[in-house]
Amino acid sequence: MKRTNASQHPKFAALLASAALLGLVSQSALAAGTASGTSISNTATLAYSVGAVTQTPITSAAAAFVVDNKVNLIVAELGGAATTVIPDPTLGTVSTSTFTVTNTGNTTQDFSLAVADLANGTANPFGGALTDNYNSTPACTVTNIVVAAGSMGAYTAGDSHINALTADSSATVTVSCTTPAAQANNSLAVISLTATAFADDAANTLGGVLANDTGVDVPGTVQIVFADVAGSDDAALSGSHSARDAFVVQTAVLSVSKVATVICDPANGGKDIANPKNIPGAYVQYAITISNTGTAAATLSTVTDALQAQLTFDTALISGAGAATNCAAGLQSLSATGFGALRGTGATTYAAPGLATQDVTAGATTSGQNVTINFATLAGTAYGAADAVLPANGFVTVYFNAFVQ
Amino acid sequence: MRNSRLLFLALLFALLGLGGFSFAAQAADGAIKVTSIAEVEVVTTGKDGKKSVKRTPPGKAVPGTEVIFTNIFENTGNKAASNIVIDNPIPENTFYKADSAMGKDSVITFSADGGKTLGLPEKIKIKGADGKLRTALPNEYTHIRWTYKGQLTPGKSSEVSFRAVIK
Repeated sequence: MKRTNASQHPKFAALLASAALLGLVSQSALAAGTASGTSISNTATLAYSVGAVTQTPITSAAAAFVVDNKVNLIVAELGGAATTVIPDPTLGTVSTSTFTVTNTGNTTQDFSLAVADLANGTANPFGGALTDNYNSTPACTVTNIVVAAGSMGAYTAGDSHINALTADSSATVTVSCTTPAAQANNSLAVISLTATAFADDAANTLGGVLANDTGVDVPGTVQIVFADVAGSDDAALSGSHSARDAFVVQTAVLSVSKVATVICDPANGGKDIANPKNIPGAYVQYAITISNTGTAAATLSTVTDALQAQLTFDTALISGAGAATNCAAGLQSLSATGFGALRGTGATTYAAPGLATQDVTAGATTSGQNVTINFATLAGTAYGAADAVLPANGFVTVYFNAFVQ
Repeated sequence: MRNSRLLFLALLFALLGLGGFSFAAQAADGAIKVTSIAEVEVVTTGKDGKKSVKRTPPGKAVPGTEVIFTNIFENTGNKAASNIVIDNPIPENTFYKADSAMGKDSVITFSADGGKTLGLPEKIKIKGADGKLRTALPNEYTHIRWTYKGQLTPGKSSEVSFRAVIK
């Protein structure tokens, strides 16, 4: 008698029913794999005949073993770029870096967290020519741990370990570092976070050390098997994984320069005619240039300039152009407010005696001998609408005339 | 369960007065013995630097480990056995490794529906997520069946095996 229909075997049918149930369980199994301690059992059922007589099917004893503790984890930096730090001139600046720690093993574990401030000269993990040249002061610390996916144990402020991170779960770890006061532009600090798997203890403390079991295999015992790959600062099969982040100081570097150019004098006449000298009655043009050679934009506030008593502000910003032989005649006014201004990138493009289109319509005022330029309102035909932000590699030049008494 | 079943059968036979039927007695004698073993392959490097593969019990078994399951069957009776069919559900938490089932003088068929239907690898269909039938992947197999073509004479043993990977 040929048996082609499995349902004719009562025992096999029972096996099928249990296998179907088990199938449901295995479908919900975690991507990290079968949990440690799970028994894997194999049995075979054999049907046979002797002569023409069908015999009762027989079943083998189960060949069983338990799944061991696969210790595996991944530490990854979040963001993929160095964290920008704008330093404070007098105080240290606290900045944060975030990492994820994922338990890719098959067992709930605790994970210790160690932050290292790497040595000067360490390359920027995100590329580029900058290398590490400063350390966090005080040292970086873990300041927060939250679950990112799955489940983890309680976090208590001050903890530098992750409690009970279940298989396939991940936690977001925040690390806080302090950039010293007045740290120079383009300074770089490279840090690493190393997470190491420990046993999950029932308490909210870090559990016991895990040791990779390199001894003999014991089929019925859950053994510890390290399966991690090497990270930025740890070796493969160490029970640890690590990743790096960096802090880069990005700030504005401002310089102010002031140049004076004689526009005309009563004896020699205008600048385009002869070589005027600084004699009483001469008009002198002062140009104040603010340049940003840093890597971050700066918001400018005001520039003030106190004229000496011997100078009088020229309300018309005369150009000194024309055929006149002295400054009293043939004057050309460039600005109704007495100020000219221009801005752009790189070095200033200002050239005395200025242009009529560079007239300032607002934002530059005088009060007695004091000249005040307010960048929040400074505006003009060529300068454009008011914008106090001076981008990296930008310049602003404001100029005005005074005549020598 | 097995004992109660045998008891039930014995009672049945006693009631029917069919004591002359031989198969119950033969089954009790264990005319065929089946042993199932699980092993893993371990690569060892000898002193001469040559690598050799050894099979050991699966001591260190973690997700991803490949396990070799072998069913050894032996005729311990005194008559030849025929029509031998070995059914082996793929163990829970593992999946079948493609083309790993082996068995001398056997036709090997598979099932992907819990053993309801069996067939050769390319003939096994299951319903996809879209409700349409498609060919099942080896890692979706739920059962393996070896149909032993020969006769197993007394004292003779044979074995069938397959490999499965821990999920």
